[in-house]
Amino acid sequence: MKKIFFLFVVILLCSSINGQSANHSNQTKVCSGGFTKWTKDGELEVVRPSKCMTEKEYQAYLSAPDYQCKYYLQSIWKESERPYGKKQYQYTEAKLAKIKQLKEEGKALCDAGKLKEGEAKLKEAITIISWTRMN
Amino acid sequence: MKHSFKLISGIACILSLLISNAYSAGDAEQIKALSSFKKTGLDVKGEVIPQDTKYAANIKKNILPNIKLPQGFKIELFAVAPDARHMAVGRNKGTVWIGTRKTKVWQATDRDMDNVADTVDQFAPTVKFDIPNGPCYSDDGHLYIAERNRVLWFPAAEYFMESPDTVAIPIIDQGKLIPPAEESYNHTARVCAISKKDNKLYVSMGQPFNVAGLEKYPLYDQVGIGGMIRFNRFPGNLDREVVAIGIRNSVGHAFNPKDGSLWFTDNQVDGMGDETPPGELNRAPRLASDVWYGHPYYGGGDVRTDEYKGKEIPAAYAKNYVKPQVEMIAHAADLGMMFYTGKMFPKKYHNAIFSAQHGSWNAVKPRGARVMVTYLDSKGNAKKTEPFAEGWLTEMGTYLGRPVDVQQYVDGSILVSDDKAGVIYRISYDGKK
Repeated sequence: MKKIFFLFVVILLCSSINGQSANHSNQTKVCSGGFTKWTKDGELEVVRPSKCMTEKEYQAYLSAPDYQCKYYLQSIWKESERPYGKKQYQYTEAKLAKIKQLKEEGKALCDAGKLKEGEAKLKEAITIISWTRMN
Repeated sequence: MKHSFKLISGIACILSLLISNAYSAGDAEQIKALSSFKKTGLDVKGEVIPQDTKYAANIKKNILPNIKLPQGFKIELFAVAPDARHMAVGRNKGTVWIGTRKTKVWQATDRDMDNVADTVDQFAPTVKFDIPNGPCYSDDGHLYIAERNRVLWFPAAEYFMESPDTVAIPIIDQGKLIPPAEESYNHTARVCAISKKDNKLYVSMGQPFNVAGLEKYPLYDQVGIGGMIRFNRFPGNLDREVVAIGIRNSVGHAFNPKDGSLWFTDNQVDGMGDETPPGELNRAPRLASDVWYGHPYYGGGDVRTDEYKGKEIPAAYAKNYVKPQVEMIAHAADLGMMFYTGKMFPKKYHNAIFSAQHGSWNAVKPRGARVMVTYLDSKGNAKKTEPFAEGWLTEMGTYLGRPVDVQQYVDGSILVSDDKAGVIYRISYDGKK
């Protein structure tokens, strides 16, 4: 009887620890988008503050059905529209126009719930970026 | 007709000269003098980086306490060196040469032997460097620096380093490392290392695309772009050879001192997802121009690139495909690496690989910015990889620093370069072994 009671206590403790650990993991902050730089005096200056979500929210973002649509759209923006990203590549105007067109078509399909078709268009745009020489 | 041909040929010749000098360092006269052991006559003084400053004090206050290390280890500031990238450690004076992705190379010297650099100043200021990212140093006292499109030899660098006119001899002339038309800024942080087996210089050469199109590959495989080359380290017959192909962008390699095998990191494809594809740590089973490491068909590990998904891998590649030894987390940017040969660290670290993760630039969940350690098994294969030093990434997902390279210092401690804070750290062990 004592053994059964001991086993019960051990199981209870383990599940409690696991639960706490999972809960802690889910509550862990995932922060990004921030940018800091060191001043000439060695002080860390926040140039752009971060945005945060919980680990649970991050996992939900990764496993969402429209994750690839969102990811590809963001990638295309970063690499071909955002000034810093855009200047890293040797784009021609024709390439940029084609990327923009594919992005818009892909976005429209994704927004209409045609995720696979939308992803395919966005991947086409990313392929153009991939095959453009970097500066 | 003949005149037209001559005119077209002449224009083509001028154009090719212009193109071939697109990123030319423009220091041919200086190199000519320096390589003849002569002075350049230029009134140039190298930049000196003050060390005992408020900046250094604040880096000690704001970064060092955040770095987590295994018990018995400690981290200190070794030197302030702006834009610090890959390093080479001299064997006599203990000078550390520090490359940058800009136009300068620093030399940091601990003159009073207290394991902190007393002087950090510009190395060879009469040479116009162009992305001199990769210094490496030979056991017999020669320094080499791999630039974007040139490799320079600095004989007896520890002695000539005190003068602005340092003897500098091209091993590979400007514009001859890769065809100038293939030059880029991105994926151009070259790294060099010397093999004890064949006494040759090994230089990695990233390819200038996220994923290159197939039409580039006959040239790239032939030249060694998206691969690695080796050549003799003294002028004359270079005997240049391609020893690895199918690499996307390797920015760190070293030889296992136990079996001489070549290991290298490889940064993998962007734009496929936040958590894919993995970064790589590779071991070369042999050194030859047909040994293929997967790019552009694989984006990292066994993940096929979107650009080549469904396309059959050519037989010549497939039969010589080498999988990575370690799949690192995606987008951590694995860069410089070394084998630990010192005696200061506990035995478990002997002959282990230390490698730097620069940290992600485009992932929603920032990662990396740490030093990893990979232990090998008795056959020299990777057994386990784990973080060794971390804490440069804050809870807010911003970077206090970004580790680039890890090299062993003369006393068996390790140096870690950081191109965000612009410093070199020294990690030592003072616990019980």
